[in-house]
This record gives sequence, C-alpha cells and structure tokens, in this order.
Amino acid sequence: MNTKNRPEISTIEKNIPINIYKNIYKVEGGKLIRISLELNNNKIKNIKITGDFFIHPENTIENIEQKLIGCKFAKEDIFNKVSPFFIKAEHFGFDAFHLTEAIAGVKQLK
Amino acid sequence: MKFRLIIDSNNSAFMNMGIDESIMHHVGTGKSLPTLRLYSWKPSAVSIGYFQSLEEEVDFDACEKLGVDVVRRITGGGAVFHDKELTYSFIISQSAEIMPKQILDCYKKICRGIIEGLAIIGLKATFVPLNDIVCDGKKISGNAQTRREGCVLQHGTILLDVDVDKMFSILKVPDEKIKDKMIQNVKERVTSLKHILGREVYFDEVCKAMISGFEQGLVIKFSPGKLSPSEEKFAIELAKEKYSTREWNFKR
Repeated sequence: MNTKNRPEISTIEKNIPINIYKNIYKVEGGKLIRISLELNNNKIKNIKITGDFFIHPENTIENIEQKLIGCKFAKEDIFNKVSPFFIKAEHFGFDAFHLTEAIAGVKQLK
Repeated sequence: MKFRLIIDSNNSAFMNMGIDESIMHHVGTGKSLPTLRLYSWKPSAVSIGYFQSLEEEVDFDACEKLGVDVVRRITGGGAVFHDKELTYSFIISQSAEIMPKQILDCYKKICRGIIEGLAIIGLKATFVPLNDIVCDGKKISGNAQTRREGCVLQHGTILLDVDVDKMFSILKVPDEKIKDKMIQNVKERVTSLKHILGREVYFDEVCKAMISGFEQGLVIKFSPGKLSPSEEKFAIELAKEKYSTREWNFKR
C-alpha cells in the first residue's frame, strides 16, 4: 500500500482560495486509485475518482462521485456513503474500504 | 449457434473502438451474429481504461509528436500501447448459453480461446485473474470486459513484440522519481511472442492460431464475415462523434 499526499492551492472566481488535494493509492496486489478532491468547510465539494480498476456497471463511479458531494470529510461518513454501491456493483481490484482509504488519504484522516 | 469472424487490420484507434461498440449494439439488438474480430491499429495508439484520466496517464504531446492516436475505451483497466500486437474483440449476448453469468468466469472462458491459440503457436500460457494471460510467469495478453446493451464485450491484446522504453515515452508514471525502476519492473513482467519464440512473429500467423484457438477453446465454429452496412455506418458515426472527440477522451 502506498499513499502520497499532494495538496495544491488553486483559486476560483473572486480569488477565493480552495483546497484541492490529490492522492494516489495502490491496492496491494490490485489496482491503482487516483483521487482529486476539493474541500469546502471540511465537506467534499467536488471529487474525481480515476484509475485502472473495473466496476460494473461503469456508471457506478459517477454515481459515487455525486453521492460524495456534501459529505463530511471523515472516514466513517465517506465509508457509509461509498459502501452501498459496492454491494450492488461487481468490482475488481478494489473495494469500498480501499476507496475510502484512498479518499481519506488525501489528508491522512484517522 | 452461429458465430461470425471478422479480420480487420489497420484501422485508426477511433474507428477500432467505434467498430467494437457498433458490433455490440447490433449483436445486442439481434441484428448481428456473435462475433470475433481480429484487428490491429494504424497508426499505433494508446487506449486508456474507461475510468482513467487521460491527462494523468498519457503524455499527449509525445503522442502527437510520434503520430500515436489516443483513445478512451468503454472498458475499464489500464492504459495500453497498441503497437506490435494482435487485438481481438469477442462480442456475444449475455444470455448466450455458452457464456457464464459471473464476470470472472466469463473472462476465464473467453481467455481459454487465447490460451488454446497460443498453444497452437507452441506456448504454454495460463489465465491469471482478473484479466491477464501469462507465459513463463510474464504477461503476454491483457483483457478487458464490459457488459452493455445485453452483451458481453471483451477485447484484449496479444503481444507480438514489445518495446517497453517506447511505451514509457508515451505513458506517464505515477511517480517520476521511480520511473526507471518501473520501466525495469515492466521489462521483467511483460513478454512477447517474439521474445519467447526467438523469431519474428506476424499478424497473419497469430490470426490463424487464434481462430482455431477460439474454436477449440470455446467449442464453436466461425463463418468468415464482414461488417454489415448498418454496422459500418454506425461505427463511422461513433468514431467521428464519440471516440475522436475531446469531450469523450478527456471526460475523466
């Protein structure tokens, strides 16, 4: 397992700074998950989950990203939002735990 | 059950992905027979997995410089440099009796065709879940599957030859600091027919072996065929309006 934090600062209109965080998470013996995440008041404002994994149906990832918008940036909250999707979908190379770790890993959450 | 065989070399990346999707659409609506298509890429191309970010995986400028096409697949998995290889797609209704219901079993079944084909050429290969075929412990074939429109579509590659250094001049690595180590690692883990057999291996030879391999491995019989006018028309539309667009290729 290998995580790497790379916080970046960007600006939006009116020069209000927002924090964009990135993480690369390698599932041991599995696939690579990349997270790009925007936080606002410790809530997820935007998230992009990419990687070389497989999940069927494929739109599951877009649905997870939508569901996570507004979610408190805490491991338990993230896992609770993510895990129901993994019960319904067929997934290979990663699971709900790995995805939660990948997301939380952008800021080393406990 | 009747099966169609299409041998279709030298299409662009956009057209190759358009043809695969078009066949899937026509098989799904009962207008076409289940199909094995054997093809290659002209020019060479990089395909990225459905969930990958093109910006993160591919050096777009290097591709432009080398004249390499870049396309997003509708299947998951990793980035692939399609250079000296034979690519196949196998498209069949999900309800076909010969297809297992579980995705992993489905991979295993379709990969049996490739393993039998490799055996005809003289290679002993095995399936390694989820989606690899290995020979002497090294990967020689990668495969990816999707299920849409009531169909199973699996496509994959059989490496005729591999140039790992050229591959990494196009693909980005997660961590530049360990790039050399990664390249070394891939050299140790990936092989090709040329490397194993110690001679040049050509598309036509592998094509013939794969046709027999699929017939033996899946216990089916192919009739040679070609795209229907409707399949061709839809493939051209998909190539133009989906697979060659920035909107699709940079969608994640």
